[in-house]
Amino acid sequence: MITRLLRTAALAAAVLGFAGAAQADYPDKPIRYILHVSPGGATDVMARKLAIAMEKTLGVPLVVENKAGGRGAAQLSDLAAAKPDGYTIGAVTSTHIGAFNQTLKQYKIDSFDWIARLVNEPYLIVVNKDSKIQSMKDLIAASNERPGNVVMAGFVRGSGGHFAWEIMAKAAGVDSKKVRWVPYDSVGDAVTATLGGHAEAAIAYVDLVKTHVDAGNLRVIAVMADQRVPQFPNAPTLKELGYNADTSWQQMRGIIGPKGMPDDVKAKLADAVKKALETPELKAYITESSLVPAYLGPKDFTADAEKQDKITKQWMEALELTR
Amino acid sequence: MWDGFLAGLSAFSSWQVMAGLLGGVVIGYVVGALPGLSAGVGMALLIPFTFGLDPVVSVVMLVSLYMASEYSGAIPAILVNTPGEPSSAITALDGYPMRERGEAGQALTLSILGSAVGSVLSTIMLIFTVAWMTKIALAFGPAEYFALAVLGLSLISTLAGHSVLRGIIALLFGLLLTTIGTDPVDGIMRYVVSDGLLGGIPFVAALIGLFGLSEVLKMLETRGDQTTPLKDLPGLSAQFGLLKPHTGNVIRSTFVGYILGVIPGAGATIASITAYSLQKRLSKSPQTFGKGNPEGVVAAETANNACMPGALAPMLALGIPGKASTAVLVGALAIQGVRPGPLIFTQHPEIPYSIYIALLVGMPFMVALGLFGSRLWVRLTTIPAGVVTAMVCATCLLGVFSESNDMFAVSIAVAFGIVGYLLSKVEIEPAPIVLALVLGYMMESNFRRALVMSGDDPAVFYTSPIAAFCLVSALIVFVLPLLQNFRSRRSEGEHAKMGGNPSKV
Repeated sequence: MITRLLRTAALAAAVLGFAGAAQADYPDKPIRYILHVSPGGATDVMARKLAIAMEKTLGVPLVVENKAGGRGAAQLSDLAAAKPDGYTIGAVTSTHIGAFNQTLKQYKIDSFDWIARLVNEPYLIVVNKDSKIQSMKDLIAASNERPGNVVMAGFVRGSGGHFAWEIMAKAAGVDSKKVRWVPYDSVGDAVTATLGGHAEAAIAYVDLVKTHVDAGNLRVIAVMADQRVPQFPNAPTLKELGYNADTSWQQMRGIIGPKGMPDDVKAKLADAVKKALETPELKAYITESSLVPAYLGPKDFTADAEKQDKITKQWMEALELTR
Repeated sequence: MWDGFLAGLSAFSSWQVMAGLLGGVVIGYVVGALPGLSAGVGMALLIPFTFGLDPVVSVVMLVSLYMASEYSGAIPAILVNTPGEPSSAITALDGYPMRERGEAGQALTLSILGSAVGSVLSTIMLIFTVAWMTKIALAFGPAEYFALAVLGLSLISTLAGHSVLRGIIALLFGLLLTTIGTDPVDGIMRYVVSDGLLGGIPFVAALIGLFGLSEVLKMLETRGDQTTPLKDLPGLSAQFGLLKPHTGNVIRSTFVGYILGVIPGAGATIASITAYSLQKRLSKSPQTFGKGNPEGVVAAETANNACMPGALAPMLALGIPGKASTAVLVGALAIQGVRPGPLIFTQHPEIPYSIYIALLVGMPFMVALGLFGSRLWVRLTTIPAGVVTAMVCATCLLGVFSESNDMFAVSIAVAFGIVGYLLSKVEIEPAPIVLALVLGYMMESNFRRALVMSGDDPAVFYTSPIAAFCLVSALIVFVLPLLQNFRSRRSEGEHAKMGGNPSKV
């Protein structure tokens, strides 16, 4: 009897010990890091830099794979089908959460494990230097004086930037129906349209407008952040202007994995991300690209994603974008 | 200006910069010649290797890769009717028939020389006009882009080979295909039977299918041991002389390429099509276009290479990447802490000037490689067709996969290969389909964007001078050839009547 008990205990210990060892060994082979973008863009470059930095902590290579097909569909289907063993991870941005609610409805927040958030990018409003609108006040006045005549350029309807505008408009008391949201294929295209005077204003990020603001061709009239951004010390935040908007609504980048990854694997990856963000190379790149370091671990990141998803759903409903 | 030029020149005294230049050209040749591996993808693949490099070395390497791959797309287009770059689809229209006549060496010579002259002249224009060109780039809003796309599509009546009707059928088929995907304004999914289609039909896959794989299917009909006898090329100095009769064509095509390059989003394919159509209109023998007229090869290749320095204008002076490859350049510079834009000429003058110098200094090397190649890789045509077919098929499929890392794109390419083959049986050519695939989305998205902007007021399309000009030109460009066609047919008919042979009409 006792021998049997002992044997069982030994077996259990062996099994447990073995399982523990298996995860302690993680990672012992290369990790696939799947992106939803083509090579060369800002998200791709950042991911590659992150991969190099994480290799140092994890001791195995992170192999970056670009799967840009179907606006994220190719990446997500690959990621969802992968084994949740920590050897397949993927890049995620706020745009994914928008897609979960529009084009890729087969996925939800809990279809994936949210590992870590890397950075945020606050939204801001820019106008052409020759525009009659030179401040948030002008914008509000213009929208009332000539309803339906003010053109706001940005990314597609239902995107993070579109909702950022709605959130700002609501806070500032602008009836957003009086302003025309003109969707462009990218935020960069919307900035170009504003630069050419085809649109009066655009919702964009710091990095995309910095050189034009520095050259005096564009002007930032409001930043949706708690503090002024260091790149534009003269551009007021919404709060300073007296408008209370949810500044946590920002464009984020992070990493996710297939559903059901072991907690300690997630913790290891998140830890490697955290350490990577502290390296001088990545720090310099983040500053250079006007991004805001915004690390969150698995638990907080999941909560953050759920919150963004909830806000997205509310706005989809309010703007009658749900179909 | 001269200070910047000197700063750029002094950078070229370092061996690293020269090594980057030569390395870029060689890699560019390979990247451009492989279908599916476009200039943008090739440059992006190189980016991780530039992390530790000096900014000038990095940008010189990428720009010379870009330059060389814009040319070398013509090599497979001429030799196996498979464009290595999208824009060389137009080169294939006459380049491949020339190769079938055994004139592969001549076609390759004309393509490299045309490319070289187009690129150099265009670079010189870039150096002197970069500041003004930003105005053109910014003048295009939604209404103007729509009108430009219509003007592009109107070229169909010139581009279509022997039958305008078939050309229009192909064009409309292509336009129908561009409705697939996520709607550009409302985000509604249209005919998205598989998630892979959310972003529309993958263009590169469709292109490779229509040209490369359908050619593979066609080759299956011929004997496997067939080879093409090669006509001899003249000596080196006489080889240069081959381009001489095309001087006017080269200058016109350079201009077309440069201007269309400046407009963000227009791109090399549209430049090639426009220059090709223009040359066909002006040619003394338009009826031989599409059947191996060297003028077609010269026009297409000159224009797509002249387009590249043009595209650098908005990229450098405004930081606007007009296409995938310039977007990669912007990314590569960002890694180095250099932001292209209005301030680059004062903050980092060595960057634009070293790009100019790279484009000029790299050219003799590119030409040497190209002329050498016109004697070397033409030998491909002496390999039995069966072997070549297998090689082309494998390269096409591999190229499509490597472009997207996705098997879905491969199945699209195969489907388009079959479609292209079947269409060729009813004498419908793939070029108008490509024209539609390039311009359809641009036309629709900007038409709708313009109307959203104006509050559904169609006046935007004729109150903007640029848009009005483009639309009127489109009408003329579309109708004129049809009228001439009609007139020449009628006069032919009258001749026939007089000759007493009405059955010919």
